[in-house]
Amino acid sequence: MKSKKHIDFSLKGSLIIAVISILSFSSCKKDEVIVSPPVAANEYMTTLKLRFENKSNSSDTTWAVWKDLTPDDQNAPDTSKAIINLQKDTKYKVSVKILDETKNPATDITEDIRERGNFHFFSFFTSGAISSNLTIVATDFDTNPTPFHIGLENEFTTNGTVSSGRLEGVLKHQPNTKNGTFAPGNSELDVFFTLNIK
Amino acid sequence: MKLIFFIVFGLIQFTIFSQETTCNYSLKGTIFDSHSGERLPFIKINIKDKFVTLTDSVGNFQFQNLCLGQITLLFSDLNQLSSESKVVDIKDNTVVNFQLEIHLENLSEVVIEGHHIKKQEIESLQKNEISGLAIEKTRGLSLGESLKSITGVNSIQTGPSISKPMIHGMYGNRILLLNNGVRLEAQNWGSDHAPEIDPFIATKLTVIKGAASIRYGMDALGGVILVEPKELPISKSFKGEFNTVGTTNGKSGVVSSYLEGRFDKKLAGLSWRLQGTLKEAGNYKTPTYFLTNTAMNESNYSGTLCYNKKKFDLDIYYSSFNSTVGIYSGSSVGNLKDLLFLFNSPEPTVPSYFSYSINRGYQTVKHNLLKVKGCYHFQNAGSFTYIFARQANQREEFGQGVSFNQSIVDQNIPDAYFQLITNSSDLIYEHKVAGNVSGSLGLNFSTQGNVFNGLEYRALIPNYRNYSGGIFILEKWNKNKWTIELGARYDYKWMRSYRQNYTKSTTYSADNNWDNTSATLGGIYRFTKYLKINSSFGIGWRPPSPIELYALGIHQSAASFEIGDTTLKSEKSYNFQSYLNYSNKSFSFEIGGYFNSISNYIYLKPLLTPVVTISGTYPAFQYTQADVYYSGLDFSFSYDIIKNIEFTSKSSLIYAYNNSINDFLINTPSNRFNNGITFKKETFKKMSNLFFEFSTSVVSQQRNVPLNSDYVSPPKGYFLMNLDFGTSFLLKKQVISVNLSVNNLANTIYRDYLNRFRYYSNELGRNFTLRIKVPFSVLNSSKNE
Repeated sequence: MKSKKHIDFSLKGSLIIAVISILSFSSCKKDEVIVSPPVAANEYMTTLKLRFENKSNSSDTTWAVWKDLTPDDQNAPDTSKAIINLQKDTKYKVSVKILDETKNPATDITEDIRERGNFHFFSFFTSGAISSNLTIVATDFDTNPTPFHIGLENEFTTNGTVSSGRLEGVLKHQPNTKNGTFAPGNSELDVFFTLNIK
Repeated sequence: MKLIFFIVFGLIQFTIFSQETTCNYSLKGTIFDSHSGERLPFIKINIKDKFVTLTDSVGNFQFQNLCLGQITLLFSDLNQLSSESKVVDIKDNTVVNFQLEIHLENLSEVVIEGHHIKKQEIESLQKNEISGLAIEKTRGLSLGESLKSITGVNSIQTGPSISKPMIHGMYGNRILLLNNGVRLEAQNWGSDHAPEIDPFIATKLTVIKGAASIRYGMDALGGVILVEPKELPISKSFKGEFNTVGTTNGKSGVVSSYLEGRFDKKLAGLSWRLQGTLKEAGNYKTPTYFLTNTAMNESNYSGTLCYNKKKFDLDIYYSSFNSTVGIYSGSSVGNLKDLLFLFNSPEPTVPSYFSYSINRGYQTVKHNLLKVKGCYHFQNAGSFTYIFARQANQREEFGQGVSFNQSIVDQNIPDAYFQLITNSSDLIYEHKVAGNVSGSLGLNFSTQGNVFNGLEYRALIPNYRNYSGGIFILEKWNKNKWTIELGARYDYKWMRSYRQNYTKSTTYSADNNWDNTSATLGGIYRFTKYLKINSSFGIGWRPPSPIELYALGIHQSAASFEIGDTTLKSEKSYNFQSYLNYSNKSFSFEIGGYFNSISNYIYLKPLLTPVVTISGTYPAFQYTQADVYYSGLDFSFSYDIIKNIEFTSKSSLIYAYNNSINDFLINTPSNRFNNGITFKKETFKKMSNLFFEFSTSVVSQQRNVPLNSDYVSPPKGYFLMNLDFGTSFLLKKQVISVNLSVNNLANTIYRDYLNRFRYYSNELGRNFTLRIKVPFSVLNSSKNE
């Protein structure tokens, strides 16, 4: 009698296990079949444009462009227009433009960055012979209690020496850590131009 | 030892009590240690939770008012870490002396409670356990940190709160973690993902070193970690335990508790446990500055319901692990230049302060597990065990930057989202012992679905579905001083991956399948009762993981550009190991060597041309295959210099080499030496298990590193000192265990090669930890029914 009950229970037990497993296996939703396209958290930065306006001759404007329409992959960027030619002994107003050209029409991300100027810092670095012949001063400010430069608007001053070198532009994301220096945060954009003073 | 125990006292069985009318008999006796013959004081003896007593200082005990008939005595030490049960037939006033296996002097040994014999599944591989007082000393640490006291075991870290165990230089999906018998599946997501296990569920952590694929399936090339909960009570009871841990570094607090019981009468055979842990920690501190945003919190719970009849067991287990871990703000890098800049900064570039709040730059992790286990023992024909498990792993990673897209911010969409759901079934048949041969046969089947969602182009791991199945046989031959073990296994795995063509917005899939055989041959020879040698040769394999096949993009946290290879083949390992173990009362040692040769070993090979993107320049790495080996030596001994003073020493040496390119392997642990001196006393006044330990660890600099694979050279070696103190005492009738430890006593500034945050920050400074454990019984022990 007792052993019968016993067997009943184990049968019941096995049945429960079987049902649970069947349910669990059959109920798997095949979530993986749907591949969600990446959500654009931020516009993709594809293009950095620098606009140079001669301060003493506003009709003298030039653009330099660094472009990579397939960000985050191995394809090399388009640097054919990443060349800047400046005149010696001249002051330039230099504006930074950052675009997403994966979209049509392209979106301008510059205003978003300016809006969040308290978290961003754009700075230029020079290397090579131009280093001693080019002075760069940022002219725009964020809205921190002690305002810091954002670096999207600048003044470039060349001296009388003809030289060439590299200009590096870096956009740093400095959430809650911005202190007016380059150090905090991480680089969101970091590209090189060739710069000639003629 | 357990074997001897079961032979000598083979009649351990669960007895159902019958109510008797005459209840005025006494039971008296003395308890002895079965090895040394010494009298054992302060042993708790429990009869059906109605009668509880402690042995006195010379091991004597006495019960009154017992009824006629069979009674089961449950013996445990004050910590209730180890226990044993014995059956006595009361026919009159009775005097019985017991010999127990309970080891008060052996801090790391525990005898398994219960009426089931736990079979050692692969005996010839070297095993090391942390249990008893040794596990008490690790309370509050993560699983990865808890295991570091075992020779040959390290942990690979990502900051202070993410730690992954490493066995003989291998980690991630080359080792397996078995959480209460179920494979933890989320380990293939990368090295910054810590195991989702609450260490408080375990009373025993076992590390099986070497290729254990034969029993636990593919992937186990380096070893297996078993996280085993306490057995459920075997007699009617309703009890629990309360643990609390506090640390000064991080000002962390942990509370963990469980309640458990067993019913009788109509619900006889039913036992249960509910367990939960809460943990909260603030920013950790190096000797000189806080690690900003390293706060974390964890809330975990589990429940078990178990029914057993003589031949049938049913066990249902559910556990949930939930944690949120802040990522050190000073580790945020956009590209290689940022990384080198941070490495060269003497102080962090982010402000240093203490806080419990977790800001952006964090991950949330959820792991839920349901396990149903059924077991049927045939009269004379072995037993069947069936385990069904379903686990859901979820991970959300939030980067430091906040999206410009307001709807993403409002919906709190993570930068990366991973979901892995695994269903598995295991059927194991243990056949009856025939002569000197015992063994088991097993089948398993599992299926997984992985979903990845990411912001921007970060599809490091594709979506996939896989099915895998395996079959194994493992036989053991025992005679006199010999045990020989032989096993074979076949596994098959099929996977379909789903990816998207971003330019066309279409989904395409690719199929892969792998199959392979594993085998093991091992033996044990016991020279004497104390000295044995175990050797094993094993063949294991591991199919390439999805990330190794399909990675293509910037691995943000590593500041590298990683490229997968869809033509990768399976890794195959040939593992040889031999360990000599000697264990006696006042002296024991273990020395062992291993050689693990792996063909088609998958690793990230540095490419010569870096990848240029708008966010900067990244070193590029490609997953590739080579023939490599890991070899090493584990050595430990402990020696009682004089009575009550013990010296312990542990050394782990390892050497890993890539034969294909004649170079070293990255992330190989450097040599490590731990020494300690312990003063211990079983009883002192009203205290028991008193110990005071001073220990040191020396970690040498890793000089055997591959060329061009790392951004900076490995940090210098270091020397650390630690103190530990612990005891148990009776407060009124309540047993309380206390443990106080100090880590990094000298507040040494150092960095560790196996911490990926070595680029950004120093290791933690001095830390005091206080641990209190209070076991309690809910049923009033003096109450008579």
